[in-house]
Amino acid sequence: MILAQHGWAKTNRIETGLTEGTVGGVVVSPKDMGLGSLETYMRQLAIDYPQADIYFDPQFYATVFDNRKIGKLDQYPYFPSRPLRRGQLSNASGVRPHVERTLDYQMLRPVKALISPSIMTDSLSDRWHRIAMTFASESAAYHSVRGFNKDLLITIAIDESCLRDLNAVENFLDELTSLDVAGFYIVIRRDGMVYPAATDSVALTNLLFLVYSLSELNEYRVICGYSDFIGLALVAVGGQSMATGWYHTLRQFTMRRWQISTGGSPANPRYSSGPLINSVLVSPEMDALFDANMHTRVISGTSRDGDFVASRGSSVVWTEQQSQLHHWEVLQALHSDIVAAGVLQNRIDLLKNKVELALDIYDDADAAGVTFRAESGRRELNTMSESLEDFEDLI
Amino acid sequence: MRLPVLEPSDLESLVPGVSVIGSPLNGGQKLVFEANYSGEKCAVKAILISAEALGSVPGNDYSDDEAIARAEREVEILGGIDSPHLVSLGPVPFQVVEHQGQRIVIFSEEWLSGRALNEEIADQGPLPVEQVLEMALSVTSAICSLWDRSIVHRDIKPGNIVRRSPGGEHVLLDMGLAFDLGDKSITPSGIYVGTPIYYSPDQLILRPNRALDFRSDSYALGTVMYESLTGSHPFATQGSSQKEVVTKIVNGEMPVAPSSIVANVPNEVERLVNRLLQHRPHRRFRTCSQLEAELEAIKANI
Repeated sequence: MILAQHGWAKTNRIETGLTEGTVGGVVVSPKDMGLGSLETYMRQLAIDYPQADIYFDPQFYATVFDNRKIGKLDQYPYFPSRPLRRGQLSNASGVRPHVERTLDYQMLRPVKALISPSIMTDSLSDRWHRIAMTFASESAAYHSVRGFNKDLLITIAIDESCLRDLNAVENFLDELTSLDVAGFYIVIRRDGMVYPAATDSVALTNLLFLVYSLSELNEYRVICGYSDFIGLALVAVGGQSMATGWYHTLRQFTMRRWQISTGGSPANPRYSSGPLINSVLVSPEMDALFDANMHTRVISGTSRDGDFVASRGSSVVWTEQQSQLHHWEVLQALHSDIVAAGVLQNRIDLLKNKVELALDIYDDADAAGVTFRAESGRRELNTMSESLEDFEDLI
Repeated sequence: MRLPVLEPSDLESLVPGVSVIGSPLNGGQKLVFEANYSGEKCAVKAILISAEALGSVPGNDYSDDEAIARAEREVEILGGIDSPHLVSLGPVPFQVVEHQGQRIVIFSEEWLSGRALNEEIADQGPLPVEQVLEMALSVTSAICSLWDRSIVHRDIKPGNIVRRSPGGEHVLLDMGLAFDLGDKSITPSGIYVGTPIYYSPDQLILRPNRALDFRSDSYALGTVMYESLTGSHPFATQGSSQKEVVTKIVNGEMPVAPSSIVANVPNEVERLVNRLLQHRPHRRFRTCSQLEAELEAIKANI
């Protein structure tokens, strides 16, 4: 299932996505909406879309960020008014009140499952990591003691660099899989100011393995937050849901979203291509594909593509919101294909095949003289392909 | 761990009503006496807590009082577990006796008249798949019953799996009681307590912040299933030393497939044993019920 990763300036995107069936639910962001407004919004969504899966990411991880920009989070009763220091969380008694307040808050809201508080960690072996594991175990214990009738998902919030050491990931998995909970909500912080950021292939391989072990082997429900095309690989190895939003910062978790802005310019419009399993710039990249008469090979074939082709991506027709809703449509179609493939090996084979076809298109575009920026080119596909191969060797 | 010095006549005088039938057996960390008590046949077990000459028993990190209290609590817990596949407590109540400068814990278990799995394997060689699955289901049921109380057995091996009566159901013995006196599989001096060639890697590699859970027992079950199917330990060859076997377990080596030793091992059985023998706990089964369900499904399909 594709979930909308909620953020600032939601307009009516989520309702449109739910109505069109391109998203099956939402992960709401308290950072981006005041307490009263978000509660009203969740209640209304639950009434208007009773089948939608609504999750509340407590974003507790922001309590330890430096130079943080926490938006509306300080309105929420569970969120600490001051940044927390390591010493305040060094034992279970320091963690427990935060767990209780965060889960109690969600329990009274129309959410499908509770998401545990946690902190963002840079390592799987330092003291911060132990604190994160205390949050996990305390959340599981409190959920069990209270007998909540909603499932609990444990937040895994880690920097991508944590995933580079397979041994550390396996130790992490041994510990995670001792938790008696329904599943996990995974947030991977990535460096980079560009979109999409370059994915580390070793880290991706180990992330695939993490998701595979949790979902396929250990039968947990896994939601991969802040996902994008790369999230399709996570679905192929067993992840049940991927959440993705409209802004680039809602498609990959970077600290940009959490730090005081130093300014910048609006992102250039992009077109999400199912056949390329990537997004490319409307101008000049899609323009060049039109000029080379290659556009038919990269058009996604969704309900919005007719307008895009007719206008050649004119900003009048292809608005920012159109582009963003189209992104969900494209991901939903790819996601459905992967899920429909059935068992693990079939899903992987299908995705690998799609990646090969996408790389063929890039080859032909090269031959036709179409050039792409690094982030629009084959870089992420090569990484995905390599990681899927390495993942198969691992399991 | 050392055994107490205790003759049958000593036991009979220390515990009135006990009538010892034969010579005591060495039960690893305890002496085991076949005995009658109040007209009921039972196995009376004696564990050495301390001896004047030794002080506390090596391998026991607790004081005498702590060790005794812990043992008593374990007996109480085990007495409360109702499982047909765990040995049940016998009629002789838990007690601590003093004998020739030794402090000894005495308790009893039901008497089992069937054979141990290691004897069956030694006599018959590889056992029929159906029989192995039946045994595995019984042991899994016992593991689950223990894990429901957060207890890990830690010494599952063919010698601890005995039929209640000849041809009867399998029962798991020695429910970690002696281990729990020290709560360590490895003593501070690095001496293994128990039977390390049946230990899981998680038991042999004590990682910080990681407590053992039932998945450790499920690894041992994988070893027992492998041995039952093939007639040989997965990591031991003729002449292997204990150290060599333990090294293979710690290093995460995988054994040759059972089907390469014995014909007609079904694929699904082989896959299950392979999964149980995974070096990493997360690659085994997360819950007891998943393991039970898998075994039931395989049994139904064979």
